[in-house]
Amino acid sequence: MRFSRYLRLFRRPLGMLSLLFLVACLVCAFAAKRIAPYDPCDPKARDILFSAQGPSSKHPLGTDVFGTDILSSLIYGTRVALIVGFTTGIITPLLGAVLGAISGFFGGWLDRALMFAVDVIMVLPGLPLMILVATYVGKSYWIVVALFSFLGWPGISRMVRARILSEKAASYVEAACSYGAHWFRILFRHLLPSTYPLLAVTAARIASASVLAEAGLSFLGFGDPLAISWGKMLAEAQSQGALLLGLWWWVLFPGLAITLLSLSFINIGYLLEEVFNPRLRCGTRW
Amino acid sequence: MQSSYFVRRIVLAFLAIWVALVLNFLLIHLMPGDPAERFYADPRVPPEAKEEIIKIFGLDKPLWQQFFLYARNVFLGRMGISFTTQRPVLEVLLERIPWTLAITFIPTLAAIACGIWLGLYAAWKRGTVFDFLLRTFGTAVNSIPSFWLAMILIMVFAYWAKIFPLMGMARPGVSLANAPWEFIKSVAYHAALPMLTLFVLSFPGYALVMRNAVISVLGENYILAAQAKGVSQTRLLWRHVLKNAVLPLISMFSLSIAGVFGGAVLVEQVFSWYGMGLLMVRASQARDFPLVQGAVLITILCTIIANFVADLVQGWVDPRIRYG
Repeated sequence: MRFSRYLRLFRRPLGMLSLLFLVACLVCAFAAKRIAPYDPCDPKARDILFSAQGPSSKHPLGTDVFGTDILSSLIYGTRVALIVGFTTGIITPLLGAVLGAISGFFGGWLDRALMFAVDVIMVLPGLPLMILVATYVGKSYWIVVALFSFLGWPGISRMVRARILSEKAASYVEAACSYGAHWFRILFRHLLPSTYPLLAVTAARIASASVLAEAGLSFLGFGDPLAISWGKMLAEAQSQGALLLGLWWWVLFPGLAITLLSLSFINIGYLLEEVFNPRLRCGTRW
Repeated sequence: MQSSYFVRRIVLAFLAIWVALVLNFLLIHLMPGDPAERFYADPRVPPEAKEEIIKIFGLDKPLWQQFFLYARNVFLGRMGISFTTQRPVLEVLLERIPWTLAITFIPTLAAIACGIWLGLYAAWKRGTVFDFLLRTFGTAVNSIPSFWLAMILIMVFAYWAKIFPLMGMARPGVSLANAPWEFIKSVAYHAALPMLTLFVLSFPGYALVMRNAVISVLGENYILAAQAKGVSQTRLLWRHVLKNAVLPLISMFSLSIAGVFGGAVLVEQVFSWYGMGLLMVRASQARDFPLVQGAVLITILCTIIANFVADLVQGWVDPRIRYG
């Protein structure tokens, strides 16, 4: 691993900040019990005397009407957000890339069938379907992961397929065929890596969108009722009258967390694109 | 081979509608629980209605027959009886749709108009602070949760500045029947913040697409030719640049019509704006299965049709697509 090649990335301040933020969130998610000053799930830890107070020395981001510390809730909330973001950001591109690669590489009836499925699925709206599935199945953030993957793979598939189709005619593929390379090797060792830059950006964008979707679903009340989620915090803020009472800290901070995490994923996507696409890195000979 | 584009679009839309019906039908029958619950086995449904529903949907017949009866019923508008209101599902839906359209239509138009001007200006003044701000704001806005923005706006405008109301659709007691002009004014007043939220969330998208389109059009040879001919700046912008750059926006607009039906759910929830979106949420929480299914199905069908119309419009406006 030549680390010197990655030193150039430090020249991207936005990317570095986003990476830092994501790492901070990961730390919060893993070490929540040790970092969070109070335990948001423990009814005894609720500070009733301090409830609905703004940011103070005792509660840096304030408390809600129940007396729960908002900073602690935010820290515990990173878990759900990161689980949804990472799983969706990994599964969807994987699914889309494999299906798109197979479709583009083999062509024929398989290609036509898959592209028809792509055209149909891309038209379906996301949130109404999530509400429908949640009505039948119950409340969980895995609905977001499953539905996002189901609705998201077509977009990626189409992109990967287009790239594979254009790369199929390249001379290095012809060379590989001539020395008798197995189709598996050609597809996964030569063709698919050419899609990595675009795939990385798209994966990041999907992770970002899935965080927002999970927040939205939790806000509507369809998220996991036992887990702490930033969207659920905003839902509680609204239903407990934060808007009527002017408890701005209860509204500002959870939403800010969602926005910042979402933005971080997108910027990291741009960073990844630079890592994977050698032509974008300044100074390399191409 | 022009007609083949339109024919392909029609066939695709037709098949997509069938897939949506199959999907909905399968969801009813494959999801855990008793499918009968989904139609009538609920204490809120009056017993006379039960018999009728069993007859209309053919719930005592084999599954494949049930599907065709289901499809026929959907096209005839018979989607069952809502558990919570004991009224036909379609009736309830048709009552709610205008409310959703009321807060999504105007912001979309305003967003396009604003987006066109802002994008044009940003492309013309490319590289300046204005361009940078637009691009930054545009990328940031995609990451802002719509319901959070709505709550922030409520905080600022309804709580601190006290200009607009906190929630609801109209002042209680005022209705179309007893005071129509007051009602309309009250609805407009209550719709201001929801519309502002949707506007702020949508105009950056149009502005960015317009900006990129204008930049690429400005690089075209025919613009250079027009400038060489001595065409004035304004005429150049209007006649040559705008007409060509607006093409991607038309398709965006058509697609946003498709998104209109599902998109406003979160904003409606924040403002308690009782449109299609909030109906879906409340029906789901009340376990009112026919209503949820009906609402989602209508949303999916409208989205498919809107997408189809978007493709047609794009094919009509931009001839390159038809031959491509």
